[in-house]
Amino acid sequence: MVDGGACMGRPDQCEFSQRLIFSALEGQPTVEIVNRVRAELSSCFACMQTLDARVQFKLAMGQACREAAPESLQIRISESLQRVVLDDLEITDF
Amino acid sequence: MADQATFADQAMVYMDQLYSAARRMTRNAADAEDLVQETYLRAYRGFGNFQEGTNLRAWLFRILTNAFINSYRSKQRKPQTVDLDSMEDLYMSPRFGGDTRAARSASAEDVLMESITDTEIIDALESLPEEFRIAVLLADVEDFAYKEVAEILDIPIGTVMSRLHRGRKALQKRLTDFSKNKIET
Repeated sequence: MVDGGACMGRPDQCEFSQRLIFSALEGQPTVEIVNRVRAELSSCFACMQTLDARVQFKLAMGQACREAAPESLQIRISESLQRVVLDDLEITDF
Repeated sequence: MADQATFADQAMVYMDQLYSAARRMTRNAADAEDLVQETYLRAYRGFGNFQEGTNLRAWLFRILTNAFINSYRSKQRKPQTVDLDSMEDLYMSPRFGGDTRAARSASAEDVLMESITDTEIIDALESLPEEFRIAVLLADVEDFAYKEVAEILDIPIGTVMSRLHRGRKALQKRLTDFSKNKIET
């Protein structure tokens, strides 16, 4: 049971809230999942704050670390795949 | 069995995601490009064995990760690593109110999030030891489920959980250090 008494306002020391927060961070956090976990943590304000901060952090990570592949790479890969296809055709021809 | 003729149509849409992951794995653009190219060539060659209807994205990431581990890791520069064993628990540190209340920890995390930049997040992620970096990358940037991360890395799910737990803590510790440095300067 998660409450102020069980985790003493220390989510890091509460295995149950840690597990719930860990589960909320799995995959792409959806509003539905985060709200469900928030509801389960509702008796512990510190746990809810930690959950919100971790979700925010995860979203910020995704935003910071994604970048588009250069167009030159896309062309290079398309060309190299075409070459492989042609090689395969030649091998088949023998 | 998948038809190789449909490979490009199905696989090319994942190029940005694979490139982003390759950038964080190799920590430089040229190696990332080579790694992604090698991934596509390997994937094309093996596409006949790919089971249609299963997770193509996870399959491509598995090839990328294996290619990185087998071909690129050895030539990587030694990373600036965080010593995870000696690292203090972020939530026990005085800065995060470790000996008072976790409510202060959470609000400190909020403050931290407001002050850090995208570049600092990238630097912090790239400074993690490889096994933690890849686990965090797959779970928190690419949003794979924990079971998928286990399958991509071919390790037990318990090991994934452990690497994520420690990797996330190390990452936040690194970002706290960035934040501290900003305040001090």
